[in-house]
Amino acid sequence: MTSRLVEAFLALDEDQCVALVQQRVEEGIAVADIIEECRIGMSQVGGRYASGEFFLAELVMAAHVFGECMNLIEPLIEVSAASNCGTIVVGTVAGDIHDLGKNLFCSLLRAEGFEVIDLGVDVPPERFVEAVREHRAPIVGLSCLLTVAFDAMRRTVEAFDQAGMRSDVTILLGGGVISERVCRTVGADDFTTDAVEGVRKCREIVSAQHRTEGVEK
Amino acid sequence: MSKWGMTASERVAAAVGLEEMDRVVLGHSIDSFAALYAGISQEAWWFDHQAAHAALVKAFRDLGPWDTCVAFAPGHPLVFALTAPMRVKLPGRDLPPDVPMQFEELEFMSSDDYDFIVEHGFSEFLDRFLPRVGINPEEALQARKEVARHAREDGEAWRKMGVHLLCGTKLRLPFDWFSYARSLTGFMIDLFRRPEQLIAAMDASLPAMLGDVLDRMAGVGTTGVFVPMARGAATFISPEQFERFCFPWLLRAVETLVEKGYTPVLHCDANWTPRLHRFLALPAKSCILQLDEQTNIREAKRVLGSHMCLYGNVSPSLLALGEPGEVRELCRGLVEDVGAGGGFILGPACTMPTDAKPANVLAMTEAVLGKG
Repeated sequence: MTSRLVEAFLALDEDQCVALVQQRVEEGIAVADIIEECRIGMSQVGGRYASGEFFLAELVMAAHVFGECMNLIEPLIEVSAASNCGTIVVGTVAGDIHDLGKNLFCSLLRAEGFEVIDLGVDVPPERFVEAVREHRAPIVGLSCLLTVAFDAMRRTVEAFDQAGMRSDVTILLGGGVISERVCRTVGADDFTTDAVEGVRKCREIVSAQHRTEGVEK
Repeated sequence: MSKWGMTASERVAAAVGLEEMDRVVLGHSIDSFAALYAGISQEAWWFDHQAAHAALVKAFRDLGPWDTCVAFAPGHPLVFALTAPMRVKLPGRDLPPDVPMQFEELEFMSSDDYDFIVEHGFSEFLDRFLPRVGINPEEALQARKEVARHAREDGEAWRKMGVHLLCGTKLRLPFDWFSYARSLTGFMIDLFRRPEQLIAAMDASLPAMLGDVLDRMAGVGTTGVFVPMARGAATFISPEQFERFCFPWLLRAVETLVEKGYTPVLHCDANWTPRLHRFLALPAKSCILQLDEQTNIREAKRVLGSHMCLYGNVSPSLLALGEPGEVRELCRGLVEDVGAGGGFILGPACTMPTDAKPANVLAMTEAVLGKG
């Protein structure tokens, strides 16, 4: 059964979402359960976007509402309560300062329960490598809007190679001008032109890794 | 003497009017690609008009000839800033000298500004707004004069080379203008939170925006008005939001421009496929619809082929990374399918990528004119 909070998410009713979250906090409901409910709401909004029923405007609004709900409960979150389904390093590659798609991707990843290390824009290859190493991230997302940034993507992939980390990290490209050809040319593992699809791919990558780890154990 | 029977201007006019023509129009839509090709820095492209114009001419002589160019060389570093309500980061000033210009889209306008516009008008608001993106209004005025002069002079220079300069200036419609000024996130939230405020501000802004464009077009010597549109695409908003927030102002603007004898060049970034049928409500045989690769241009031909000239849409990643044979094949397919019966300008999706391979740019030319 769909909860009232999930319904409020689907209606993009910010006031109602915030009020329902507040109400749950006051009722003493576990923070992890409230977050999970918000995530289900976001996930269903993402589903409607994927099916063509919702558009980017609805996705952006829902991400905003999710952020408002999180602001309300963040002070109550203990580290253990926040489920973490993986860490992803994301950034716009060197020479490109476009970040709208990247920012939306980060919001959706957070709503899915990923820990996101957002390196911002114009990120040099070595910063990606350092961040992946520091956070032991299994996925790195490289974003760009300009074709001239393809070379920076290629150099970033090479930097992982040179650091001996290429096989430890899945490199996902994102951006309006990315294609199969670009992915192949720069040597990345996968690509997307759509933030929701990108999140789905990250989920699949992490699930596959968990399965592999399970088999190895 | 050309083996073709029409001049470039006649060909463009025939394409817009969906009349019989000798071949499709070639419109490579080249801007900062020319800088890289001619070996001048991106900084020189923006700050040295003569060098930029010479770079375009070199590209034209080596890789053309094409019939039309959308725009002329930048006449002033503020040329984009005047119609794009974002902070422009320029090579040599804000970026390394060889990095192409980029926009910084931040929330330079608050939702309260909608009410200010309704109360005081868009022009008064603009005087407040420009300093927020780092532009002195006096400097903007100077830039406008220089840009108008370059439009006239370069248009004439291109005419002498047999090229039709397509656009004299740019009109960014209220929906797109506010979406950039508020930033994508802020604006999308406005659609849900304050629709009436936004609609009132768009109503208050359009007459001033149109008046400004009509002023700028006077004496320019060409009839095209570049109308960049992105945020109204199906990528961004629902059909209901498009009808409520976007289409009415587009229709009003296009009708006004066409009545005044101008040709709106509707430069549509992102995916417009699901709403192509709405362009049937715009005046027939009067506009150019320029599409990037996210819109299905063959579907556009099916829906709009007897209503509107189409322009596009060779893939930028193919131009940057592909091989000439692939580019020629893609272009020939477009000429055959979209060019059938006229009403087609072959060009890159959006504009020529800065790092397109010169051989691929030439391949576009060869696909229409044949080799050598």
